[in-house]
Amino acid sequence: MVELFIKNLNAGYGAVTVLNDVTIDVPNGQTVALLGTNGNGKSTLMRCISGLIKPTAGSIELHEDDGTVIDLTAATPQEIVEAGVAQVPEGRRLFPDLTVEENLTLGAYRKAARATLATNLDYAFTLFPRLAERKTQLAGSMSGGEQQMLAVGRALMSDPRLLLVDEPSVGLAPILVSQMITKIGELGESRGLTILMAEQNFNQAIRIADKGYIIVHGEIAFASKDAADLRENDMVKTYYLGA
Amino acid sequence: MAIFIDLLLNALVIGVLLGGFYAALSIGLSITFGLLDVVNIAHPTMLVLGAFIAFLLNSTWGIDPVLAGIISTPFFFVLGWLIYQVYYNVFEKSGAESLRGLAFFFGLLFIIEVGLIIQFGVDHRLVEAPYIGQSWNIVIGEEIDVAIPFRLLVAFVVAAIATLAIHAYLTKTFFGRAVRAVAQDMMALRLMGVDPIRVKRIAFAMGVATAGIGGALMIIVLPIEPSLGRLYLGNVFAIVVLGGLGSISGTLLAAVIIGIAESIVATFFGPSWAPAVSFGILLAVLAFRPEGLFGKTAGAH
Amino acid sequence: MEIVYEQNYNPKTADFTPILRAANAKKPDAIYIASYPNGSAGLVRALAEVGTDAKAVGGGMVGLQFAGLMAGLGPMLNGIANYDFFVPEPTMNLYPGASALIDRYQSKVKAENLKVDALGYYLVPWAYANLDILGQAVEAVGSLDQVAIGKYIRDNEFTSVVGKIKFGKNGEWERPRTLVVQYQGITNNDLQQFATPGTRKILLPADISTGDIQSFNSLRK
Ligand SMILES: Nc1ncnc2c1ncn2[C@@H]1O[C@H](COP(=O)(O)OP(=O)(O)O)[C@@H](O)[C@H]1O
Ligand SMILES: [Mg+2]
Repeated sequence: MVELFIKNLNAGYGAVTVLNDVTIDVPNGQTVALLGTNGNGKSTLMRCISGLIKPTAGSIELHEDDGTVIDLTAATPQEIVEAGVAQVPEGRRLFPDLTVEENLTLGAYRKAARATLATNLDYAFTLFPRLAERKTQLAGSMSGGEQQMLAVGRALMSDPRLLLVDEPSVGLAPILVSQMITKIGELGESRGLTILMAEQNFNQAIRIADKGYIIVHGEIAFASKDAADLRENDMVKTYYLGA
Repeated sequence: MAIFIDLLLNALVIGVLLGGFYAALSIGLSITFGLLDVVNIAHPTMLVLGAFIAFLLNSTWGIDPVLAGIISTPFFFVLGWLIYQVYYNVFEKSGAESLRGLAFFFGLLFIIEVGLIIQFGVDHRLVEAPYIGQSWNIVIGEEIDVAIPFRLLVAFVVAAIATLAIHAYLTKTFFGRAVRAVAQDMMALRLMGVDPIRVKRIAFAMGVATAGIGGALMIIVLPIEPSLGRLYLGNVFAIVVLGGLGSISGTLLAAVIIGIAESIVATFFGPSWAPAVSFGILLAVLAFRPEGLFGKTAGAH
Repeated sequence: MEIVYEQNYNPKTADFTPILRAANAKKPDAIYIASYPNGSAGLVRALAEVGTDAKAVGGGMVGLQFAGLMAGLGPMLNGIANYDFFVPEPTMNLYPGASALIDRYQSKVKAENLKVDALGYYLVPWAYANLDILGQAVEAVGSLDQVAIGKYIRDNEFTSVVGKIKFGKNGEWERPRTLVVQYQGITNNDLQQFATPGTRKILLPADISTGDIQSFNSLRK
């Protein structure tokens, strides 16, 4: 369905450059891990893809099966969502004073997703039965694990083709981390989603990734060939242990 | 005893009607301040502007004041749109909205007020309509009858319809839900494919638009003059805070509570106590529920 | 005289029916109201909506003399007795020049579309007389010495558009000239009816009265 190509991307905040010549490829239907410890630019890259900050150089493109290329480099966040890209942002960023159901419904704001609201809502509730139980509860009053489920569920409500997940493990107890990562892995398979997941928990992330990148000081320091390479390459272990 | 029941019954009925009227004055602020966090202290003066427009249409062409309010509502929508455009570009965009934004609306308040004085003078104005000064008298028993002034009944019905419509719009539509979310997390809203600035602009314009119909109700209920808005500033903010920031139905309920409290106090203890009781209720509620009656505080704002 | 009900109201009061009901419950013979314009208008409307069995209603209601409020309230004013300063009744001709002044004022307001009271009976002659007396005193004293001007004003009788004016010891007029009028026979909201005699009959002072007080309800339709 879609493949994400990022080529020679530079981006930052004001005069500060954070990303430097970043090139990444997220193939159709694969789950790609973007690994790196705190402050290395993972979230900055995620924000670029979603159009929240504009790159100063390079390109971001979605390639469809039929060869159509959608250039997202200069697109607005709205256009990017309409193109089928959803993000589960770092820190979840729920609407704390709205209910679980209202948060999910807002996820379906995208025009293409409004018609299938009911089906998608059912899907989110099947994926996370916990959310169904707490439908009318305010999002801000839920536990960290439940909030993360809601953040993922909300992103899925827009019927995305490409899902960006930024550090789903942050602030969760270890058992919940592994459950959440497993869920994301299953999601990629069952829905055929293309997923780019930023993580600093290398161990967990490489369990589900088809391939991975390590980002250090805004540059791609390592790109794995495949899943096996990601799990076994000594480079990864060096960076991981260094973390 | 019959007299007591008669007074109590009338106080309750008038209180509910008065509450509807107060809701009409507060609902716009409940959107702009309660939902969008924009401290539009010029709102009551915009209502007075709406009242003068109703006066103008009524005195020049004999247009019914409620109809005049409906006619001027789109004008206020455009006005609100333009005001937000200025407010956003000059203050909000650069994060300078708190104090300088307040000064902006303070200035707006005086510009509107002075404009009204120049155009209409300082005299009190009234409108004419067949229902003003008439009442519907319901005889319930010996010495007990309820008089419902049509002037308040009209205000109540129009206010209730407007409030329920706004409530439904904000809870049942995609755009309405985005309005309720926009002050909570603009970045997250962008990730949902929503342009939060557009949402704020339209929602602010909606809040200001209520000054058209609300102003018309104002001049139906009481005589108006250019500085009247400042007199009601405290009341409308108190109602919005009492109802709970961000809750439209809370605003309606708070307005009715204040209306009933004022009318009961005016009947049995003397009208000069009425404002003290309103603010007393506000303080008492805030002491136990800082988020107001219907406010939601799950979030760590 | 027994006072059965006495209350203050707040300027923010939006509706006066509860107050009138509470007063009516004490079955008063007369209701004396001292109010500012918004209260005056609110009470007049409440009187129309709730009614009263009191025989006399009114007193010191500021605002009912304003052209805009009179036209806006129209027939709701019938029966109310209130203070005033100048009304277009024939006996007011004892004020030389007042009618001419009012004519001039009204045509100026109309011609220049001024945002002031359209009729001008209430305050215009008095404001004019204020300055007129001051002018006469300054001319007589021949300087701007305030003490001398003050003494001259206290010691002498003046003639202006509100008739002969002489101040008493306490600074008030030696002979009070505030009018008590009763609104009568108002049939609609037309402003011009208030520019002709009959809508505000003078009850007091007795020497210029143009009518007798009638009970409140006898003048309501
Ligand atoms: N809003 C911002 N303004 C300025 N600098 C920022 C901002 N967000 C992040 N940075 C900086 O950009 C760099 C990368 O941050 P980030 O992308 O959040 O890294 P990561 O997600 O890998 O932890 C850091 O040096 C951080 O201080
Ligand atoms: Mg990050």
